[in-house]
Amino acid sequence: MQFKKMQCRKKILLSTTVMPLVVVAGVAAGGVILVPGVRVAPAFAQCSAKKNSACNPCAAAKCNPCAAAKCNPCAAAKACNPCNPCAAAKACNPCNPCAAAKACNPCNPCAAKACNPCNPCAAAACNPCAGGGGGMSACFVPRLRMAAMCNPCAAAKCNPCNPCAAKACNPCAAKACNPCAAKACNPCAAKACNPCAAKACNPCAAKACNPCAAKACNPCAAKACNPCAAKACNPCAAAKCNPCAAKACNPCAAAKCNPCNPCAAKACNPCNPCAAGGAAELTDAEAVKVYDCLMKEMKAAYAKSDNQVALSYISWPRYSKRAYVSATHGNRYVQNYANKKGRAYGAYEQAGRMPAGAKLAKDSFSVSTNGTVTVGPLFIMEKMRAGFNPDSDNWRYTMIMPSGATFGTTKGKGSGKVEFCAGCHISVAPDRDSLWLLPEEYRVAY
Amino acid sequence: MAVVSWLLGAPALAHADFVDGLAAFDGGDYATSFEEWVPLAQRGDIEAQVALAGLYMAGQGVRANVAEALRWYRAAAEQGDPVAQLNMGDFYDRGIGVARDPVAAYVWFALAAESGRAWPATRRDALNARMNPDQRAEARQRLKAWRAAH
Repeated sequence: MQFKKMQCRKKILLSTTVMPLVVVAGVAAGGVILVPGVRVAPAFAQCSAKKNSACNPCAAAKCNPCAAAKCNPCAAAKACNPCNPCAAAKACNPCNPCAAAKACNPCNPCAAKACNPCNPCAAAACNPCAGGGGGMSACFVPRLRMAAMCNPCAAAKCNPCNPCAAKACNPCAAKACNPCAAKACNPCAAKACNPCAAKACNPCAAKACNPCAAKACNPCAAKACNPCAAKACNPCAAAKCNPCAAKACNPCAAAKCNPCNPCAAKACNPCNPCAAGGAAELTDAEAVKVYDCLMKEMKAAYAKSDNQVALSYISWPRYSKRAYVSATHGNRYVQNYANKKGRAYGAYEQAGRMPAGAKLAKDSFSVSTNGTVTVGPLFIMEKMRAGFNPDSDNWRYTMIMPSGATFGTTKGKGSGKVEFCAGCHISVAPDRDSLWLLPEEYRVAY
Repeated sequence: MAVVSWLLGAPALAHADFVDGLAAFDGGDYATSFEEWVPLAQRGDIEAQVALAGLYMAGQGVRANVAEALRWYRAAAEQGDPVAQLNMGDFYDRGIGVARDPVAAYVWFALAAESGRAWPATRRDALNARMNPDQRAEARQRLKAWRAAH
């Protein structure tokens, strides 16, 4: 079973992906900029000139489209009145009443383009690009979001620059992030350009036309399907006929990720399936800021479960300096809390066995490479009396989803659904009482 | 015999699928969770429907889609799941993916609260205090109709 393979998948690691910090100029380039004189009709422009109302476009009651309700759907008092000096400013000007108005306001110049990063609808229900909506989280990592906007490799979702992005804004998005998906915009699609595309020569090419279909993102890595590897049975093995074999004739051969993939040559090639992925790494300051922003949201989400730990854990002592990546919890950022009876947790290696009544809680969130933050599950361990369940060291495991759903509790409803939790935790040294310890650099000393 | 073993085996198989999806979710492999839960949800498994709604809300393993989240929450809520019902109430109360509708929100909160949950009961009472008499009357009617239909 799949979950067995996943049991105790990894030791605690810090998975990092260093994202380039790129300053974005013209973030709102996709937005419609409301500048007086640009959106007004010619008739109004003339009229306006006659009335010498250049400094006040709202002055002319009759001929000013700002004043006439009929021709201006946003007229007069409405939020999107183009007469408003704020509205004429930059599209995403916070002073702009349209920008600050309701999400998905059709009057909002930022809303004009579906995938406009300036679009307040981007995080909301009506935007098809609301990818990684993070359960509608208002929190995000500005640095990553900025990098994602101008780096086509950074974010798989909702980046108009990214050929893997939403269909709505990207003609290349036909098949999710498949470099072979769209001929028009994908140099991998053309046989001539892509030595992996020729089935006859490369048995790996048959797999969804994806050079990453084979092991380790490299069709040349798997001997069985690697035309470069098996000289004897592969007519392409000879340097001349095998583009993967000879550096000289194959500019991609030396590339790091996929020697057969011409897209791999450039690190930031949007077609490069090797370019994106991994958990986004946050600086200390970012991790603190995101967590602070998210706390209220997490608390509200977990509270829906009515679970007593979920309602109270946030007031317990915290044992992690800041949210850190836990590989054993899906590479999510987590923080560790323990109640009073569980205070020995702060002794870490010397914690010994926890007393009955000790409770540990680990809230979590994930950060995508485009800076979107998503509330994750709340993981709870409660030490029960001896004899409760020797198979779990008498710990009761509970996993609470952000929806408020409790999908399982050891020895309770859905007990079998959280067996994998015990399965992983019990694999630590016997004197550790099923406790994995957080990385030293994130430990709070009590 | 084959029928009997199928009848006996089907729930166990469904359970295994859900657990696989949950374990994958725990491990951050949302795509696998999605794959595991979709067929279950389509077959009417309430837990899978709620879980799937969560994936759609968060955009995990699938592009975020509030309408789809709403669809799966509704499917589970109609089957009487209190978590789905309280989330439906929350959607209608806050206008997430739907127009704000205090009456609909009240109905879903009230139904979820019938399971003994405090969270929807609190939200129901808070909403009740904001509603006008007409809305309260309509909510009572809808609740009555819902109960009659279920």
